[in-house]
Amino acid sequence: MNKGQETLAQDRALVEAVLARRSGAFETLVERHQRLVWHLVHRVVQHPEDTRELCQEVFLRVHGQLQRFRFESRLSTWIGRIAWHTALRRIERKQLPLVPLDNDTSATLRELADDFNLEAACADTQLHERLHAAIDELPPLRRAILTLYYLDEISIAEVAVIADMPEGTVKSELFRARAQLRKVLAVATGDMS
Amino acid sequence: MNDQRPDDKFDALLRHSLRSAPASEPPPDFAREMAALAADQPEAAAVETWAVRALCGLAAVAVCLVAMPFVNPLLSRTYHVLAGAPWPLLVVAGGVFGALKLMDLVHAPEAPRLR
Repeated sequence: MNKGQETLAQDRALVEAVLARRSGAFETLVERHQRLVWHLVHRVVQHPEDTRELCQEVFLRVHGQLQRFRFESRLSTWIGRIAWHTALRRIERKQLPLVPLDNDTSATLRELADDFNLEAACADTQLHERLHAAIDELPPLRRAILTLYYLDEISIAEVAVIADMPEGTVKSELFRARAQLRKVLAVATGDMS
Repeated sequence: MNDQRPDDKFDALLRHSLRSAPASEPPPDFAREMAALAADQPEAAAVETWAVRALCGLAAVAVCLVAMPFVNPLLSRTYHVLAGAPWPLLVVAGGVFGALKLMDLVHAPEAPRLR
């Protein structure tokens, strides 16, 4: 049995246990997926109280709609998709801009020198603070896609399913996010040298 | 690990930066709280559903009781008004409209499915 089949078997067992109202099953489901949902929602709304409220809403929806889950995707992808749409609705209600107007990003990809020292950069707390601030300033959807990809290590194909976007759009959003952050890094390393 | 490029220094830095960021994490008792909330849901919903059904039934009975004295005059007036209507034309128009709606339903695009 490969890893994908193993995950599917685990998902199936867990869903059946929750639907059969077995004690502790839903708690296990929440434990397994709470980090993904929390990261995703928090990256979109960036407000602790809203995050908690929306995460509760997401898991109540998951509980209410679980009998409709047809195992056509991984359970985490399905839950991620519910979280994505729940967070998106909140942002739309607040009428925040989801996608910004982009400046030309092609040049910034070349701004990091080849002799860039990764170890030194990783140890540099000031640099990290700047990167964190730059990530927080990304538009909500781009920020969320970046988090799913780098923090939760979800593949581009799965991010596309969660965000209901073509894979090309996800790649383009990642490219633009990286370009924006590379620019910040280039400025930061330039300042420090 | 997903399809990130392990040899890309910027990817590595970004991954490290995101992991070391003071990220918001779910509280330790979140899963237990959610399980309790979800367990309360069907019970609360059952009470609400029962109350709504009972109220709907009472409302229907009340409407029938209030409307009873007006039913006979209303029926005779309606018959009088509709007697002169062009019924064959109305039936044909309704049939055409129904057929068009049916065609819409049959040829509607399939809803997107999860991959």
